[in-house]
Amino acid sequence: MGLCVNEQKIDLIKAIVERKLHHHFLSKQIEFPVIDEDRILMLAMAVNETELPDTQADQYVTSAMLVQVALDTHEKVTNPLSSMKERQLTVLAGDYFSGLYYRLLADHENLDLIRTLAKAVKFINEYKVSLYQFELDDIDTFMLYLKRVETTIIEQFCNHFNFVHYHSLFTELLFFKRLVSEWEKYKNGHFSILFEGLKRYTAQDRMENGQNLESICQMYIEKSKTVLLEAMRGVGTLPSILQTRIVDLVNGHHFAT
Amino acid sequence: MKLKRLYSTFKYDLDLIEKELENAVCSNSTLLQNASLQLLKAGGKRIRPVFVLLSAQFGEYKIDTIKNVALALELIHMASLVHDDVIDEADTRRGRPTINYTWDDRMAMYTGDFIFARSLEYMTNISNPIAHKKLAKAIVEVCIGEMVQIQDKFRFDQTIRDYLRRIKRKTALLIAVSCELGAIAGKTDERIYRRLYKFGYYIGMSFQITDDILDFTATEKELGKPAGEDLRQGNITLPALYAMQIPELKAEIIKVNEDTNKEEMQKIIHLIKHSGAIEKSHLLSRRYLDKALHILQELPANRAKRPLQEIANYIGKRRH
Repeated sequence: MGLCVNEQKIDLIKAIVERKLHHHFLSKQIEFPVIDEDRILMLAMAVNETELPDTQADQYVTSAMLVQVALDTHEKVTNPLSSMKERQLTVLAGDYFSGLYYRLLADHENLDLIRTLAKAVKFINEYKVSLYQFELDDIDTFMLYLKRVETTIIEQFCNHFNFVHYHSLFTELLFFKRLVSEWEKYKNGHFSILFEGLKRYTAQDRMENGQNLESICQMYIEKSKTVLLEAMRGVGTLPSILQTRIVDLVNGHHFAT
Repeated sequence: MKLKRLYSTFKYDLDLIEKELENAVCSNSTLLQNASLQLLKAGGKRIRPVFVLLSAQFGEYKIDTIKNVALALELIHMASLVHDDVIDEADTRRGRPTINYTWDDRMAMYTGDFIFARSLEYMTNISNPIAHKKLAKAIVEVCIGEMVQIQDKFRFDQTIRDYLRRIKRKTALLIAVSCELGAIAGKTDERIYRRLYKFGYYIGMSFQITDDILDFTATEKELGKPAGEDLRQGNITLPALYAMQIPELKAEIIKVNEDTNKEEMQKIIHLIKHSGAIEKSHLLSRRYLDKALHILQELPANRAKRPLQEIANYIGKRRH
């Protein structure tokens, strides 16, 4: 299933996404968005099983990537940016990328996928508000919402194309990456919502008192790693590119002290 | 006369849209819902839904279908306002605190994205792909328009054509598309929806030019911000462009920057107001309005024509 997705396919789709994102004025003014190749791989695997012509399937993957990039771009607005102009353009860039996803799917007359991705965006923003405004009851719900923020686009896209076999693997892989990224942010002295959540909810629970935040975070990362490796074994045969990617990720992460 | 009195014929359907807007922002997150409602309750002219409903009268008027377009257009407008407030670092909108002021930028970004997603959900209830192609194209153009506005800040050598292209994207497009999509959702033929697009475009252009004139002629109380603020922020609008056709005035206007104080701004405003630029701007606004009214004459007679005409005239006479 989705086994034929290879590096060339990912490079091809990445190039399409990059072309769509390029805007002569924007590209000079703000940092070009980071395009997560792992996400392209997962999305490409999902459409690979359909009867869709290649070019159309690539466009669908591109549309989901545009949505992800739009959301990621708006995340930057909340961080200190170098100038007012850069900040303003970052807001507009995110809106522009959202518009591009809609236009791409409207041109393909795929209203169902427009709806699927719009729903995903709606849910993600609900999760984000609950996370960042600490609307949740406990640490487990907090972690669940953090995971959903990362996985909802991929999950909804895969469901849309009835590609459910890799669900646990994909969601855990994205969650693991997010946890590691939060760990790194914290270690580099940046704001980390994960550590803010741990501070708030573990103190509330009183169960974790005495344990420091870093060791709690490490525990979650280790737990996610275990789930990820189990999920990898559970799905059976994997495209070699995905297998290599997961192994590299898991082995590449060390808790720097 | 209040704009809402002009379309009292459609009160029942507009009330329905208002209720549906509240449903549209229902959320599992209480905070997100409250933030969206805060914006919704601040009101607004609801000009886009009005144009959708009136334009649909030229075809099969089925409110259960048409409302999806009306809601989508208003939600898109709302989402853009939330993000505009982040861009402008605005504390208030229509006299109420903005979402970024009450909470923070992060909350405003999420709320805007949430509302935009909801708008697309409603829009997908319209199955005609033409409607989606037109709306999607307009959304992208509007975003480009806003980026160009930032690019053009303090660019005193821009032309009137640059200005007109900018206000088309900034304001006229969404009004034009509201009229066009209302007609498409009402299943009118192409000839009708194209004309309604043009009607909306001309109205939108006239509306924005009037807005830009008011920035120089209205009082601080009427505007809710100091007069001439657009120019001080670097947005070169039509009255300033006309005034700059006089070399002596141009020499004064190009000195304006964000640090220009109130007294200096008053002097510049006085110069612009007495240069004939305001009258010339009114004339252009009127020309767009006349074009809109002319298009209206070409449309078949129905109960939407008169309110559309009255709205056009209202826009022409508006003072704040």
